[in-house]
Amino acid sequence: MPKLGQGILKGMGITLKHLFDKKVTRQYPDYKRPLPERSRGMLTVDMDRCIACLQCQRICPDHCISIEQEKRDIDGSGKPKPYAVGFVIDDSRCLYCGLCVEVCPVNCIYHTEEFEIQAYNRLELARQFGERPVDPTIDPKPTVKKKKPAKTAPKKDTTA
Amino acid sequence: MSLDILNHEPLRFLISFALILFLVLNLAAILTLAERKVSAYIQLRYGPNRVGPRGLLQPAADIFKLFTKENVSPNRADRWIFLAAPIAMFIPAAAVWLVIPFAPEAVVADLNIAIVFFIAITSIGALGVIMAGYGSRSNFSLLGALRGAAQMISYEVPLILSLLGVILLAGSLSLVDIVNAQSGGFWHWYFLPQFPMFVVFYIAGLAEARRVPFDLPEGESEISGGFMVEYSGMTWGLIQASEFASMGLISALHVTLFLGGWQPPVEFLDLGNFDWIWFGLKTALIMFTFQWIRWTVPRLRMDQLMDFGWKILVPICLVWLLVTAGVMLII
Amino acid sequence: MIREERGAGEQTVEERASGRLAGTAIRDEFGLETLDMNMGPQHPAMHGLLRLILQLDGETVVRCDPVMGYLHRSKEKISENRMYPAVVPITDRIDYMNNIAMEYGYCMAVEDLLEAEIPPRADAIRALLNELGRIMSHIPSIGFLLLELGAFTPILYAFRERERIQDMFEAITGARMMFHYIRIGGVKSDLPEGMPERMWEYVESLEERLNPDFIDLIEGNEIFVARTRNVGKITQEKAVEMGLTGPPLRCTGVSYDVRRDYTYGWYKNLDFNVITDEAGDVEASYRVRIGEVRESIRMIKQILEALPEGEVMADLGRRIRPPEGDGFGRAESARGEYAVHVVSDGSDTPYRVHYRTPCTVNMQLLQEIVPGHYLPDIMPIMGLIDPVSGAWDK
Repeated sequence: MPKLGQGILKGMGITLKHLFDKKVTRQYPDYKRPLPERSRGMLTVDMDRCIACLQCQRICPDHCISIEQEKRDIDGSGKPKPYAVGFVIDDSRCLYCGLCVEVCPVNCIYHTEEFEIQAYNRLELARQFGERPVDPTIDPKPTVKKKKPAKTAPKKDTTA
Repeated sequence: MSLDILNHEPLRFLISFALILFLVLNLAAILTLAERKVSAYIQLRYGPNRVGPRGLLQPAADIFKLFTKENVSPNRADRWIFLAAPIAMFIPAAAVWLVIPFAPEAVVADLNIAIVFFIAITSIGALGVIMAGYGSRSNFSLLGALRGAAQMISYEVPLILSLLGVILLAGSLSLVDIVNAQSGGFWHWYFLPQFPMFVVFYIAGLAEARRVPFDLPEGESEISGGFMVEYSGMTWGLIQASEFASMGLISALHVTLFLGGWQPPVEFLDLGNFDWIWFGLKTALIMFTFQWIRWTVPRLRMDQLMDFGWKILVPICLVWLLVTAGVMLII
Repeated sequence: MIREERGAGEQTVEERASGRLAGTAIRDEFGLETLDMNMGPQHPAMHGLLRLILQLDGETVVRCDPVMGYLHRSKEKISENRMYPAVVPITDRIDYMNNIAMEYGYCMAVEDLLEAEIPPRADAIRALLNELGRIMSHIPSIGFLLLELGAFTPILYAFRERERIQDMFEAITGARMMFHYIRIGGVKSDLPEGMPERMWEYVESLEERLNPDFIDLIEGNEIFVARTRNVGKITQEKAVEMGLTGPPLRCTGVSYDVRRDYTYGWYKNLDFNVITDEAGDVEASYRVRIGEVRESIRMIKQILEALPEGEVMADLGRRIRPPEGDGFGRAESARGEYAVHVVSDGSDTPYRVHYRTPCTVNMQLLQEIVPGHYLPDIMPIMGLIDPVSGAWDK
């Protein structure tokens, strides 16, 4: 081994240089970096605008949104419209994909900058927005109806 | 008040031993903090900085945590050996401090065979590793113990051989004599005539202290803690303390043997009664390089470790020993 | 693609161990036994949850049985019950070190079903982020290799880079890891204001830091060389036979890259080299990864220089309901060839989705090449394969 030690000494030079470099740690609870505009935090709902169209419930990949719907005459026109009496977002299931925000036709569900979610009990993570609480433990029934397999079966067998 | 009682031999010894123990335990605590700070600064972090000003009280918090932790031992462990192992590791590491001269008059026991004492006592440290590994009855700790035994016994050979050159030059086995022989400027220190031995002692010392790149018995990423995988709470703390104590010990011996102990680098910097500051500074420097190496290099493999010890370090020692003896014969 | 002159034949366990094994005669005479050891699923060096059942003769591994499945989350079955757009965030979770390639593969498969035209700007942004994601995955994997060899520092330098890339990703996509940015038919939104300049600045500075922090610190280090050279040696035939892809294949000298050989998206407009190495050991895989990071930087610069203008999302209508049939998409993820097969029965949800992740295939290498090595050599071999728990278990 003719060059024994050279590489190690070179590496030690680099670590010595870093010893005096500026540190990159962000002291998290003291310093909170500004979040970018697009960052996806916890969801919140503006219930005044919600029209109970159930699109967010339908698209949600993890069924974290449950809405209890009721026909109610809100604007006094004498024609009952769908109204969300119960609205729960279960943060223990939410995966922050933002699909519900994208499908909402009235922009009533949106991300906040809040991201520190913690609780001692899973049920505490279910946040209620409506006037009547919804049981978050009940999985909303799958809203997508699976079409029966077509007569012409898929061309390829994919199990291989 | 006179300090005459210090001249009564048993009493003086007891008091000094208590002081040494205090020093060693504090050293371990300080080194834990230093280790974490050095690693953090090398890795562009701040390290512990919450407990006390700039994190200075972190060791106290650590020790408090270790004392309050439950001392779990495996169900199948050999309980006595399991519990005795940390003590068997710590006592030798602390005991050798008794012969280290801190300043001209400050040495607990100025043995005329101090080096032999050092060799004899450090060998017991390997026993502690084996006890810990066998006692915990786990495959991982067994492997760690076997590695530890093989490594510490093999590296004892270059460690001892590298001391012989210094002994030849100084003509004494007493550490005080060796330091006195190096007086008068840094060009009289033994690291210049004995440079290969200086390096070999450094490397073998790293291996004896089980530091990276020779931390195979611990092998964090392979055998996940090695011989100490089953320890928790204060038994684990004691193992850590003994590791740091032996690291400090190797540095102190390194300074004593090759870097002139308490001797100042040039004459006019002689601090008289405060010469222990020089000793402390040099030891701290060596300990820093230990940590610096630890956070730079990866770990060796068992076969490479053995090859390195027996095929490189031992021949270097033997050759330089012959050269030293030959030169001394001629002069 | 395979070179004409093939490497030396495959080594047997005994050859690889070269005298380290006690041998049956000695073993019988002294009544020696092998030690059965269970490594993992919780172990600091197992890249997640992997269990290895090892049979040891001293420190030499005689037999190695990897047990997978501790992180199985049935991604394929879940995908069958979600609407097409809602599967994308699930693919994110497959390979959590290189998410963007996972989204890319799935979206390509569905676009193949729909026969959709992707706007050029969307294609360019996809390629841009894919390359950025490759850097984000390769640099920490170099760090992990060193971490498992016992050097703790490079992983933190690697994570400094990863953090900075994640910051950019957060500004672009809104999340730090689970991006959900590539959508069926394009990307979610255009790059934010000033992002191309920021990205350019970053890759320039990364080029500067790459040399000291990831090459000088590691490559010349004698201990690193001793630990990695000739460890985990794979021959070309073995690599092809095992179906390896990605850096483990390329480090043996087989020049195969989905981006070049089955080109997709914006890659056909780019000029890049496929990095290969001859040695086929852990050190070679490290060199391949460093080379690929350099290539990715080059590609990012090329894309940024000629970023087309226009829309970023094709108009596919509100509901994505592909016709009956099957779609196939393959992408080069940081770990190798990632392929997705989607079968549609004409409804809102896929009939069947299959993810071919490179880790599952590359992991098979373990039981082939680990026997005969020392126990501590398992860690660099894991670094060679660089699997991700989420990706091999799905």
